[in-house]
Amino acid sequence: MRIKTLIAGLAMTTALTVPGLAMARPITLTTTLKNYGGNGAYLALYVTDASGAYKGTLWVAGSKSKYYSHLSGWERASRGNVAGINGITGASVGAGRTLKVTVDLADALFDAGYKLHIDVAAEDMRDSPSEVVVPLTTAGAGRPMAGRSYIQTFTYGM
Amino acid sequence: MKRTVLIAAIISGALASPVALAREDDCKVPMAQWQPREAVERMAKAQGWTVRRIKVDDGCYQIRGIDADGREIAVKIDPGSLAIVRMKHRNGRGDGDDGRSAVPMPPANEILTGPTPPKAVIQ
Repeated sequence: MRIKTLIAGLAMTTALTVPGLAMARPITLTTTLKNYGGNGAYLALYVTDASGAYKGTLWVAGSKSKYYSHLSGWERASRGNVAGINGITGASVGAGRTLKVTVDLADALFDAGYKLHIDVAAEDMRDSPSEVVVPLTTAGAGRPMAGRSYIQTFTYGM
Repeated sequence: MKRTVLIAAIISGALASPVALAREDDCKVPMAQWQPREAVERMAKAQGWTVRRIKVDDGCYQIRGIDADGREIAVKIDPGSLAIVRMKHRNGRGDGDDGRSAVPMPPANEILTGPTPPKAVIQ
């Protein structure tokens, strides 16, 4: 009897956890910068919902918070929440280099009006908030798009 | 009489203070009960540590090396029971048993709910 209960319990918990895992999938965000001829660029990748409200940050390239004000779109949206990006910051990205971020994203974010934004800033050069704004759709995955001034191509793949 | 009491108090205070100052992480195991160095090495291996050096410090064994997560560690081991007395990581904070992990926790935002924290490479 006890073993039966245990098995039933196990089956239930497994059934409950498996859909939970299936709800998020790893997404690769690939950003290649142009040879803009300047120092390494700071980038912020973040998501807004259908109404344009900030939902969260996926990655910040560039570790010195004193420069984050140059990522003005992101800074305004996230209200400069530096504590909220603990663990998702890395090095700045040199001209001509490619930044590849792998992140688990919930399926619910796709085809639901969510948009991914990338702000870019480089030393002594013009800031570029929302250089790329791309709706998160399953159809748009793998389709490269160009940015306004620093980003050569950006793609997200599943 | 009063003066005698005062002097006695001062003397006993002076005698007691070194004891009070003795650090909690010292070991006091008689030499006869010490386990051999090899036992310490075996214990470290069982923990998944890579040992760089074993020495004796404050009456304890002290291991310097690298733990299973690749972090530098300095661990004080009770020479009798081989229990961990104190564990320090490279950053200097004693965090032997507070459950802090090496992987930084993903931030609490609505987007990052997956089990694995984001990763980035620059090519």
